[in-house]
Amino acid sequence: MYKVTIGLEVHCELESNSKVFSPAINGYTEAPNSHVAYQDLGFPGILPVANEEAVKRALKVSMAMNCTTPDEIIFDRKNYYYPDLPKGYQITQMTKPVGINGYVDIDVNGEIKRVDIHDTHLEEDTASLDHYDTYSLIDYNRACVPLLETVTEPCLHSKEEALTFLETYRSLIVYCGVSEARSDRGQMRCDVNVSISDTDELGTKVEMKNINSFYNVGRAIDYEIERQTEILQNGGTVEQETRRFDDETGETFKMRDKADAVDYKYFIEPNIAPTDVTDEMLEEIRKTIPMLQLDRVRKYMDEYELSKYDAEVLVKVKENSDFFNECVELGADPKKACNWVTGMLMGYLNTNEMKIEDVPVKPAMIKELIDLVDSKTISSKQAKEVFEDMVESGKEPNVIVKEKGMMQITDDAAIHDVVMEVLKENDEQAREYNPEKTRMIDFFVGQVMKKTRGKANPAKTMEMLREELANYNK
Amino acid sequence: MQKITRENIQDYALKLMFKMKDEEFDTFEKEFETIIKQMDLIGKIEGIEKVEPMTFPFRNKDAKLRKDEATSTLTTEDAVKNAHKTIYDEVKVPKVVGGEE
Repeated sequence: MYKVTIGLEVHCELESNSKVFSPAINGYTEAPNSHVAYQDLGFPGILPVANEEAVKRALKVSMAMNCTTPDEIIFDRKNYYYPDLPKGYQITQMTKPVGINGYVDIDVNGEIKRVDIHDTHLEEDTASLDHYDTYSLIDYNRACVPLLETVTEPCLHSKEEALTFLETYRSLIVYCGVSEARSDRGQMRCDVNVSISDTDELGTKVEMKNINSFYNVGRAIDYEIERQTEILQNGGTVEQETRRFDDETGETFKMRDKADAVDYKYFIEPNIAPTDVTDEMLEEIRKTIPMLQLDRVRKYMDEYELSKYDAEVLVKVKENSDFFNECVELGADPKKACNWVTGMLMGYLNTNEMKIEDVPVKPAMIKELIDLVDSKTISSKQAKEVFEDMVESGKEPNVIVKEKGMMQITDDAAIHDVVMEVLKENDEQAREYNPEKTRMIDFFVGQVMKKTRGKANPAKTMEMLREELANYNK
Repeated sequence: MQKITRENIQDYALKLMFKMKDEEFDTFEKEFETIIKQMDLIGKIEGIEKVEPMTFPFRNKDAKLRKDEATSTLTTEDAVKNAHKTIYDEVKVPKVVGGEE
């Protein structure tokens, strides 16, 4: 049995108004070469200037991953020639990345594992290439889009750990509000390094580049473990090489071996002057980092005594979790708020393929609805009816209850009068009453509800009926 | 300092996909020879090994990052104006074989 070791290099495009080193629009579009500036095309004489927001967003992710931040922002040139890189070099960070030596905790089947982060660095994305039979097409919209590359230490030891890290990292990015991190739009891509060994030493590393979905990362890891195991079992040695994953066949193919490794001749980008990273700047960024998914799950379970399942359902989408938090901050009972949010509200959102921000329901309304049930003003059944109205109309629960005349009769004397009236009208049944026959009491409750149009408080009605019926024949 | 040989230049030309004539290789060989000589001279300066490499002559305290404003985007027509060939507003190039970075 071989020990598997995996390291990941995850690229994520950051959202911003303009690109990282050029003033062109940074945004998704289907129209090729419509978001391009001179800098993106590598025109002679261009000077790149780093985008403040992109730098801050990169620092935010760095801090959220507990990384050490640099004292200044400087960039490096990574020199290589390829048609998707018109300048002949990529502006990236090697000397002083936005973050080094960090960690991210992940929950792998209930066990917390700490994934060490080697570094995270800000760079420019390349243009996108489409390959056809006899030619290739270049769209420069993606050139110079801010890209954050996060490199883990080789500390993951199974496909499951690698995929859990990727999911956790994606949620961190989304929670930090720096990117939608959608792999279907190529916003998130991954290089995967896999080695296997039957000793304490690390085996020979094989790198697989540019895998475009988490699903394919899983397939590539499976394939590579199997391929390398077969080589070692047959007495061979694994070559250090770079391989390409083919998502149609699920196999990996050799791209280049160690001898062909590119020497990128890194040097500090002289066209971008260094700028200081001040304590004030870091503090300002730190304030914007929200509590992350795993910490929220812990809080919901420890403080609010929610089940792990419920906690995980709540944190899946940050906006849903924020909504729930606000309900609790307004004083709603966490368990009841959780039931409303994960049950009726998320059920409605799923059925209608909507997001929480698309419906007019506000946390204060959920709190009000819970209060109405707690005070026995309406029954749980009526509360659902109120919710259905509220989620469509945006009216406050109190208004709906009044409009629909749903106020329960909680006044003892009023309920008692109706109870006595019902017993009198059904004298024969009342005389035959047997407390062991539950159907009989249901009949009387039904009669009271009919007379009050469902407004009598059910619990009080039941209590009074039991008492009066017990005394009826005495 | 390591000599840049004709074989080195041929290797780089191949990797960079540059087609070069023999006389161009001759020029390059001679030019690199001069450059290496100059570098050797610099290397002989006393105490040079203690000098840190310098990218910026001085620290510009006024250097700032750019505000995140999309102020200049070319029209598609301008963006592809210098392209030899285009198809549906994309730049057509000979098929690129090999690995993407």
